[in-house]
Amino acid sequence: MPDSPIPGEATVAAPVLEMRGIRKVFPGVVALDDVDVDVVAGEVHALLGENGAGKSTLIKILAGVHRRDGGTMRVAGEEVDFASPADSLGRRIKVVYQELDLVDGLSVAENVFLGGYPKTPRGLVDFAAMRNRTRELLADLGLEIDPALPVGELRVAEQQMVEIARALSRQARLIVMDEPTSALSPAEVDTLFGVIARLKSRGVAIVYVSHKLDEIERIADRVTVFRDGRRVVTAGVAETTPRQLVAWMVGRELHDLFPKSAPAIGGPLLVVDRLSGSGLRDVSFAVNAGEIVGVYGLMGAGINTLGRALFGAAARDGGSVVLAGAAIRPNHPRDAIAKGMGLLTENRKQDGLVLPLAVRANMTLAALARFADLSWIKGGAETRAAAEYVDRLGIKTPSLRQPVRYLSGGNQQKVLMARWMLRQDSLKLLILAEPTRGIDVGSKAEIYRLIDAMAHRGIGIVFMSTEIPEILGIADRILVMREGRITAELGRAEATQERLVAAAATDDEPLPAALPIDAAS
Amino acid sequence: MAAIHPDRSAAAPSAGGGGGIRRRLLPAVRHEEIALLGLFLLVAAFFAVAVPSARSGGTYLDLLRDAAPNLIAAIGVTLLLLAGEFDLSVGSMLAFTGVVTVSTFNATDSMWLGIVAGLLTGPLIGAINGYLVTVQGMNSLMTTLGMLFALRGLVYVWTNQTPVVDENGFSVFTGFYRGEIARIPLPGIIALVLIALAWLFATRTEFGRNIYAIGGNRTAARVSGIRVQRNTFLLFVLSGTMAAIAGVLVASQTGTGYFDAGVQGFELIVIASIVLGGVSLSGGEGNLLSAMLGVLILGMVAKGLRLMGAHTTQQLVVTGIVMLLAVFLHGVRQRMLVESRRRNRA
Amino acid sequence: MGADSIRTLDVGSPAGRSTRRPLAGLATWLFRTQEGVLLLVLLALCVVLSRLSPVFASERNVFVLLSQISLTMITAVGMTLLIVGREVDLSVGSMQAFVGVVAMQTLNATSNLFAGLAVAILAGVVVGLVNAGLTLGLRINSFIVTLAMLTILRGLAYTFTDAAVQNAHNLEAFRAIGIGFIAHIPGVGRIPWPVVITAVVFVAFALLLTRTTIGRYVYAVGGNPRAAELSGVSVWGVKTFCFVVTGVLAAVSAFILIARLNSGQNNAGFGFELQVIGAVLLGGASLAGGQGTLVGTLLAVLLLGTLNNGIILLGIDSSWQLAVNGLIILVAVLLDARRRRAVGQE
Repeated sequence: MPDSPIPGEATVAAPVLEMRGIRKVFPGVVALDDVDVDVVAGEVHALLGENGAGKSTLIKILAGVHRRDGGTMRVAGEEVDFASPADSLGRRIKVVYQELDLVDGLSVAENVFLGGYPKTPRGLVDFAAMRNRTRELLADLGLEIDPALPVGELRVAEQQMVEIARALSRQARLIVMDEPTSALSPAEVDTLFGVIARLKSRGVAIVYVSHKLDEIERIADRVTVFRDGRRVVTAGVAETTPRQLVAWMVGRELHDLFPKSAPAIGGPLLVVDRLSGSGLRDVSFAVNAGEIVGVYGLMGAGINTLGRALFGAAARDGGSVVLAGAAIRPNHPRDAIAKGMGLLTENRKQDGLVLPLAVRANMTLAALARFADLSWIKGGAETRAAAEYVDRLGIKTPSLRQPVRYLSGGNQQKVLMARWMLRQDSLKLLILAEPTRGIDVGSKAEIYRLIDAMAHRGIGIVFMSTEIPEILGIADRILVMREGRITAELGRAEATQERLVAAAATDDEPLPAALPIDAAS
Repeated sequence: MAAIHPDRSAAAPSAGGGGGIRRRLLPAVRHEEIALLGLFLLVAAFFAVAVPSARSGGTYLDLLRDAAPNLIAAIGVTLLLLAGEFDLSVGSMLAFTGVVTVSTFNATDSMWLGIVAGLLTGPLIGAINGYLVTVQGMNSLMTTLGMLFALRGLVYVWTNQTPVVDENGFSVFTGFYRGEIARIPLPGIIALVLIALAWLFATRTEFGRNIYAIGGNRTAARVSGIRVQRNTFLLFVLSGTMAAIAGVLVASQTGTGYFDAGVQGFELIVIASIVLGGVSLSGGEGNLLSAMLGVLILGMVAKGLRLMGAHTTQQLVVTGIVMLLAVFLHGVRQRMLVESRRRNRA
Repeated sequence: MGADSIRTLDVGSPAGRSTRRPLAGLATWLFRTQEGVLLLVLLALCVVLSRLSPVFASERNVFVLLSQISLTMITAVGMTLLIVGREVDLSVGSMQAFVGVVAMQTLNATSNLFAGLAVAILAGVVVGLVNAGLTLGLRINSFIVTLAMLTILRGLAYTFTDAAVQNAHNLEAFRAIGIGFIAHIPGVGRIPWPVVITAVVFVAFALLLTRTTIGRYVYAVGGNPRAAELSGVSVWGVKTFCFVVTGVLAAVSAFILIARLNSGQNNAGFGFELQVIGAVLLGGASLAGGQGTLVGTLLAVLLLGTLNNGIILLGIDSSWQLAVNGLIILVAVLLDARRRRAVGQE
């Protein structure tokens, strides 16, 4: 523990929520260990931490999705135990997830009142009353959205507001927002913060989950910092500095986490010239053999699209991609693979894993031809290769036949990395989009080590991330993207957190509160 | 640009570009009923031109009579599909209820007892389906497929694969099928009344609206406190009931319980009609009236071809092609909608 | 969120843990997998039947049984591939009629066995390609595409002949395919041609599915098409392959059927599609794709066939077959639902 907890400033009021000694264990991981959090009416309480630090688990316990393994929980002084999301809702707690719980085909009003529609005296749904009350609720939030529109036709930001209106329709006293700004434009973020201010003034308590320091500075009253499943500290935001928050959040010297060795950078490998399509605009850059190029940008800046477009998995309508002298055909992943490219998208489950298939089959999927004579799989060779990589990458699995579905997130990610590493000689460039997302800190370090080792074997790496510390920790060179364009290119020595933030922020918005931290410090 | 401008409510709700216009246009494009009504009229017009006898109003009244069992059974199946569940057992139900009804006639010499017995089989079988799917967590497609075989088999065993004829010759019973009020065939009236009630149920009651939530986003429904299991169970009971009404109507056609009623893929035709009516097989999307129009379109195609003197054979071929075409066009329209939404958002 | 909660559930239950540790491999396999459970039930059934009927275990009866299941099994092999690849084909029933009449006509016209067989297989390829083209090219759900194809092919078969195309030549080799024996093997008995063909098809495709890259790709495409595509697998190619294999194997079974009946009948194969799909799903395949084995399908087909065989041997009214098949499917799905819940899979 770096510091003793700073007492919160807002402890005068009776807490809406008190969580004491919360513990939650997942297979092989203690997700939460002895965590205390309390929230009082009318405050915005931020939960800050890296991915995998435990904040998501905490809110899932609060939402009734997970059941805690230890500790006590009180809502407005009463001890509670949530067995289902309905229990949590019954206590007037509403969680607004990143993946919103809305029914696309139903109207805004119907979504707001889902599960408890106003009725006419004859027992039919009173649509007029429902629309009017929805309009009032939204107006209270300072919004104007047509209550009759199907929710599926709204923008994400608007859908989020529908969720918040829904919370108000149920007289929520505590609203939890899970990374609410991740898909919003700066203007939409302003709107959201306006709404949060209004909610606050009405005495609604807000739990705001984020890993963005600038947002916390702007709207939170208190902040609780998580690291590795533990609460590091709870402090009044006004009494802390961003530098201190980062120190609490990361909690260790960065080079512990990033085993960066001296790079052995070779000749040019990938040359991208004026690439466009899928929202990308005139993207040009090069990657050398053995070099790790980090691509940083905010959510929605197009970093993940860039990876897909290079690979042919996202539409490309202009420019060229040349890998080791060979032009890669647009929109044709198989050509990219044949010419030596590999891609791990940010979405493991949707784009990478074949969940019902065994670990071995998942590992060898892209390199199966290597183990086959005229399509006949040589089982021995395949098993030996898979076993070798399970060993080499330290993949924890009871057997090679285990369906990959049952592995932990970190091990699943390693299986996917093995899929490309098994292509061995033919793999020249590996594109990794947020490879450490949702992975515990221990596994993260191992994945960084693997990436470093691959670069040492001469493979070029393009590493996309929205997390500044890992980009700074691992990349030899950093590209910053904003709105589909590259806005900065920084060498490892010149890259700092503030420079990345400055290059990633949009023009039409003032820079967020300065963060005078060199993350490497 | 951003659609939400706090404290600037005087401005148009969706500022910027053609977004506002497109939004206003969307409801018109969205209304499946209008597109399907157009398709129906097109089909009807084609036959009116091609076959002189199709021009009389009687043709359409006959259509209503012929299509009544399909319409009624389709009500229950549609509501289940909207909730994301299948019911394949309706074809066998048709035979089962018919046989139960007429057998009860012969056993008790009472028409009303027979009809009541026939109608009661529906909720009973539906409840079994519903129990297996909701309480036991069985896949509804497989469960009702098993029920399809089990019921059909029971009918075969029971009837020894011979039609069960009404020995009393209840003319009131056959009157249900033949009868008409103000020239409108009775089966058609029954179907229309049931459709109206079901439409009211689906659009105006909370349970009805919750069906969309259950089929569209089960998690959201559960989190909002909707009793997903119970509602799904009741929908199975409803579907069984509708199939039983259809079965009794089919039996009243000639006062006979046919062991092979609906054996030629009744359940598949019903599902195809509903899908033609724009209801998604994955639940949550579509509406009852469109589904009913889907049934009528396939019915009209069959009827028109018959009037043209086409064989059942060609009817089948044309039906298949119309089905493909309609579903394809639905998909195209859907993609256009998605595209326009995306542009709208950008 | 869903996946996470599944993971926790999974660990909480001791049953989940035991499947993950291949401790007592055989016992786990027998009691915890669909194939194992099917094998146990099949063995128990065989023991009971051989006690009840002295004929059951006789050489003659065993081959009669195997001949009887051959048509279902051959088509089910293709259907397994297709369902593992996350598609389905409802047109296989109508294929029996359509391919049957076309092939019989060809045989009559040419008096050449190979010409007839070639036309049958060609028809299978074409239907498979059309199904694949419509499903993949027009992006229509294969359930609907093949349902339309079911209707169309049945209509074409009707158009082709009013009832049946009789065998107008007398090729001995042709009849042999349906009812002949390949050889007498001492100690085993006379082996019918359909059994040999079924065995060859089964072994060939079992090897293909488990030992070749294409088989592996079928699982990958069914389990997660996006992931397969991004790993360099051609989803279109793999799915088209599965559709064509299903078409060809359905055609092969249609050819055996006409040889057995000595005529191509336009009403052959009613409800065949649901029986085949029922067997494949009973064998442990999932309509969600990526799961299922040919061994499971074989055991399910054997189980259903043995049951039907037993019903006849025990002198029970053959009408019971369908009902019992339905019940077996219901029980199997129930067991599967319980097993999944124990393992914590959704």
